[in-house]
Amino acid sequence: MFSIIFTAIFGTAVGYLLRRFRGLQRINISITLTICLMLFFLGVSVGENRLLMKNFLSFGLQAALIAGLGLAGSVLAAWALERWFFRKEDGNAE
Amino acid sequence: MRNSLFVVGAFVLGCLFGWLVGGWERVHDWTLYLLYALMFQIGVSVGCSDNLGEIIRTFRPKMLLIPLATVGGTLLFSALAALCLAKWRVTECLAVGSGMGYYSLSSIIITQLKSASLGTQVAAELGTIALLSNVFRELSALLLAPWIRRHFGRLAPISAAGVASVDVVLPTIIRVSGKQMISISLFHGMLIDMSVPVLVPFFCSL
Repeated sequence: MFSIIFTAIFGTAVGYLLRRFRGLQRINISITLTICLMLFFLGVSVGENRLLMKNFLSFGLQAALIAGLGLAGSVLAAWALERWFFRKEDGNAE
Repeated sequence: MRNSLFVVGAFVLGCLFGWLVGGWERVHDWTLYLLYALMFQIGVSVGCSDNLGEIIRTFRPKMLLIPLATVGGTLLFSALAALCLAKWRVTECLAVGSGMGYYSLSSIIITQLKSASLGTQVAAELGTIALLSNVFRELSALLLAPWIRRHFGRLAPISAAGVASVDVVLPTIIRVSGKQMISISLFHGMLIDMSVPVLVPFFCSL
């Protein structure tokens, strides 16, 4: 994990040193392409698992339920936290 | 929205490729290399940003409450899944939910640790559900970020992303919640990342 963070810090240093090069503003396109490629490889590892693909619907529905509930719980908790702990500090900054 | 469609399309295309071609042993290595490349590029985009100094100055210790909210909310609602799934107990649903989007690690831990109590096949099923569940969480956080931001505020897309707030979902979080959220999102992801190897084995042992 730390090597990943250090890579980002190194990138930050490179970005700061090269900030005057206008071409760097296109880095967001490159970021999107990298994410697409990562998801493609994830799909490959899922697709080549025969047992997983055979029972995909059953496992998928169960997984979707747990994911949906976990997502909902975290979103509601963050909403409540922002409302009661952070909104007062921001005032009209929103 | 268009970006999100490309991302989901890439995942579906990968599934098709894996199903039809398969046997690509080095896919996990390439995923790791790409992760480093992604983090480098995110770093560059932050470094060449016009308001880098402001990002550093806006961090506050109170922001550490956010990963606590993520974990608490996720676990509370994940436990409810056991009411609908006859096959799995509350602790097993909690083990899956506490993956927080870390699909690779959580599925491996669950498959290994639950083998003794559930048997190899059932443990592998639960591990597969953990993999899919945490993949769905990451994809959902990517796709739904604008909607979540609109209805639940700036912090909610970060919590929704779980561990992925530090990398894959970070660009989306910046786009919907603003660059001032970068330090919050990074610290949130780092702390969630540290919680997964603790919480998943804990719930597996219950």
